[in-house]
Amino acid sequence: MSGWTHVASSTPLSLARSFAFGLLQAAVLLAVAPLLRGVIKKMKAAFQTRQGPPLLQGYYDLAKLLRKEPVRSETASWVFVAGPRIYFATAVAATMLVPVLFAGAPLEQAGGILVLVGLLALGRFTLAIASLDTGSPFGGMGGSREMTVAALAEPALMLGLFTVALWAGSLNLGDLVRTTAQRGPSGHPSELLAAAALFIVLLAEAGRVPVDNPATHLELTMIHEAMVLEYAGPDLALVEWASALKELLFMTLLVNLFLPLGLAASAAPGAIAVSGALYAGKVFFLAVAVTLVESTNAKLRFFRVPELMALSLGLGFLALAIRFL
Amino acid sequence: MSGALDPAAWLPAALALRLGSIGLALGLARRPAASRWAALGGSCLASLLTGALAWSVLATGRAVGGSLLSHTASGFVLSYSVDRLSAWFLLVLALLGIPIAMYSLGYLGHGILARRSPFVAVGFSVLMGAVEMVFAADGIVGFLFAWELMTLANAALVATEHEVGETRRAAFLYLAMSHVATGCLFAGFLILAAAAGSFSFTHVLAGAPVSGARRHAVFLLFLAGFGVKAGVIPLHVWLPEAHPAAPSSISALMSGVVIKTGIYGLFRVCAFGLGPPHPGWGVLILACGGVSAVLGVLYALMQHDLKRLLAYHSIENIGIILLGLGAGMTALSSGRAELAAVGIAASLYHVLNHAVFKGLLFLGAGGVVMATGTRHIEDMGGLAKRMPWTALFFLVGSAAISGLPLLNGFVSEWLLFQAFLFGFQRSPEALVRFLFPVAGALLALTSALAAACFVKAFGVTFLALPRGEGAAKAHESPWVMLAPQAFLAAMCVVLGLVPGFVLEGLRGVAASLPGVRPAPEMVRGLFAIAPGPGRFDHLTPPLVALAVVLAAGLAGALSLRAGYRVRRAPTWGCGGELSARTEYTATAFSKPLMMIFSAIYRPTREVQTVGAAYFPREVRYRAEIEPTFERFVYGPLTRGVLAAAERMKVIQAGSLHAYLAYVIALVVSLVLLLWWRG
Repeated sequence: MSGWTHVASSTPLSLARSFAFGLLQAAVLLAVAPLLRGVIKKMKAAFQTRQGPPLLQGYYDLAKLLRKEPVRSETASWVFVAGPRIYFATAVAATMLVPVLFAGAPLEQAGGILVLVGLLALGRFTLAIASLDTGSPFGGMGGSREMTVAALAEPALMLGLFTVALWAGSLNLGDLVRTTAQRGPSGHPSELLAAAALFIVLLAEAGRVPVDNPATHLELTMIHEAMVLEYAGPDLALVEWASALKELLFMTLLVNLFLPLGLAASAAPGAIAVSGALYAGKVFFLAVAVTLVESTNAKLRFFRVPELMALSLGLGFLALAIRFL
Repeated sequence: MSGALDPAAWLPAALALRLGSIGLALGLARRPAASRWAALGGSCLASLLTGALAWSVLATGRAVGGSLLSHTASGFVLSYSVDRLSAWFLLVLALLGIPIAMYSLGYLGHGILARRSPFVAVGFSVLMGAVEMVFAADGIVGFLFAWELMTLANAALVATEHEVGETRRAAFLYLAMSHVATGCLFAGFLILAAAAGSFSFTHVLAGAPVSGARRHAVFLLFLAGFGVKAGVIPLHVWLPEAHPAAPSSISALMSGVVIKTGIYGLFRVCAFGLGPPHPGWGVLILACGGVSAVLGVLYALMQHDLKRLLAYHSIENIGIILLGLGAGMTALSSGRAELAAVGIAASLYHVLNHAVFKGLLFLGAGGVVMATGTRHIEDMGGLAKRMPWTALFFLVGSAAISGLPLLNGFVSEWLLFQAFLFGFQRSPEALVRFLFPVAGALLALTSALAAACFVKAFGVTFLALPRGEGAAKAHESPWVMLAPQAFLAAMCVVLGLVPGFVLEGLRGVAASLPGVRPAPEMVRGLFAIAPGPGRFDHLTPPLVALAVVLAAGLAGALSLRAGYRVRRAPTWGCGGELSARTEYTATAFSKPLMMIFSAIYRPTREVQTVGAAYFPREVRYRAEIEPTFERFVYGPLTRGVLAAAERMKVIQAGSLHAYLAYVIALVVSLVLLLWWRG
């Protein structure tokens, strides 16, 4: 499953296998993603000594939304319909580039980190454009804020990823994870800094406190929720599902880049079981961290977010500097 | 090969064709439609010939050349030569020139342009021919002649709608700055020619006839001269004035091809004509590129004139192209021949891509402006329903210019990231190790901001309710204007899907440049590319596209039920009635970025209330950003020049005797100077 030799020698059969593997991995992540949100909600509720919604509430919501009649604005055009579909498609396609349980990504011959970031940007771009389609000021407000935060988060995200990638000598996620897994975690301080930088980006990209508050529908504070306010029924289900998938995707990326322990090298059931258990544990640990941040912080005022992103960017530079300069 | 099949004959044939069709068009000037067809049709055919020539040079790798005219008595020969670098730029010219000419056939037949269409069509033809000569010239005389012709034709075209004061001002600014630039080029070329003892590029640009401080001075002269034409910040101020003022098809040509003559000059002379580049040169170009890219897109975000917005994006993209060139030159100066090829290839790939998507966007904008009668996006809206095809093509162009995957902009920006990161990986120099990641972060910021800007530009122009009369009554453009846009949109997709094919051509171009040695591993088949040998990274866009299509199929299947019975309802207007006035405006959309980057914009706002203090009848709001360069760089400069002119007025007394005295003094002092120097 290695890099470019694969590209040169890929036959239709091996390609078909890669795609089948990719779709399977995407399906697994799609199946798990709503649970992750449920877990975080439950833990948050525990912090506030509430009971919170059932763990599986996300699935109930999706099932209900998918069955509902879609209501669309009279003002909207085809762009409004295309938005959630492309957003969903890019998120799913992005999962195929990321190693999850195996020491390799299903579609690693397609590209690496830059394609991953590009696909997510494409999804955001289409959804933000679609947000302007109904004529409601909320959509535009959300789209504007989402693109602003994304523009500030992108350099930080890139620098954080570059630090990891350059140390491993590859921008391809499959190669990268294999190299890091072989070497083991170096414990170099630059890795901690890069992880911190990427954690901040994760909070921004997943729309978590202190950047955005996923639990509110107050127009002055919302970002992502305002952008998708006009969606209903199956359209909304696609957006919600893709957002949950994106969050899981970022967490997967973070844990597998910095702690690629126990990734399965083959498809042996034992190896998969071990890798699956470790993966679940690592993601759960990260979810706890997200919950802690979300429960102990207040949402930042929108114009304070740039400072947070600057912090992340600074950490990324520092990580790069202390390792390579 | 011989005769008509010999590619060497195609360039003179193309030029002759242009001249002939210009003559015909001038003859038919009283019948605008026929005149238009003559000039633009001839231009199309000539561009086809040029494109075929460029293609054959790129495919065979053999440069072609010859003489256009020679004067035996004086020994003067005007010759041309098309090597692979020239061929690349000629290919870009042909690829964009043909759709623009076709679009112009429809576009120039409307409104105020209809009467002037023979003038614009002939001007277009002259401009195309001049740019062609700039790319093909192989001597100083031919180059500067073509350069001046290009500037003059372009200035005339900018001034097409000369009744508008702003247009006249834009044309004047363009002429003034271009001539300062041409002055720099003259000085640089004369220094080189004097040292080399020849006017031919083969002698002048073969290595360095000058050295030391003079070499640096010559480099800076050329950087300034070509930088003005390319619109590099801080030499860009003419660009956002002139591009919007010209008719849209001319704007497309200016943005897509004409400013690339500056890039061509930087390649031909600054990077590869003055000997091995000094390390400082690459850094300077990198800095220019970074500043142009980031400031270009930041200023674009604040524009609400559709064409002005696109013009600022040209500055941004020139910045991206320079980032590639700068990376290549930095690598070259430290002797890293393979790495240099990555930067050079990224830069040239982006030259092609920018021509395609910016041409497309300007053509789309032209259709929109024609249909709505305004360039102000706050008066547009709802056009996706009224002009569905234009909207679709504009959306493709918007995504491409934002560097999003599946389209061509992504591939060249990917390659540029590789130049930075692969270079970082392989480089022991501290400077490179510091600069390249910074440039990478700037590039990431630039493309994310460009995406934000085009969400605004597309969303406010095409979506929701029309905000003005013109937008409400807009109609789709005729097919003769849509077909070229469809072609360019398709090119955005194709150039993004077969990077291996494009890079194969670029590898040849890079290999023909002194000191650059592209790695064969960069191209891995038709569909896959990589920065070099090994497993650093690779990209296979068709696989990405396939994954997205499969996943979109999944999304479609999941929401299949939605397809059956969709209920349409009015958008919730918070209890009031939803109208165009409650929509989010472009100003509001970019406001957060204006506040965040207020250190750069230095915005001023003015709020005026009319009526009683607590119950105003009307509130007027005005926000402006500070035109930093115009005010702090060009303001003092202009005042200085005017003051100097005021002082010098004394010697221009209007007396014939005084003038004769000046002439005699000049002649005497020249004679003395010659005598003194030996």
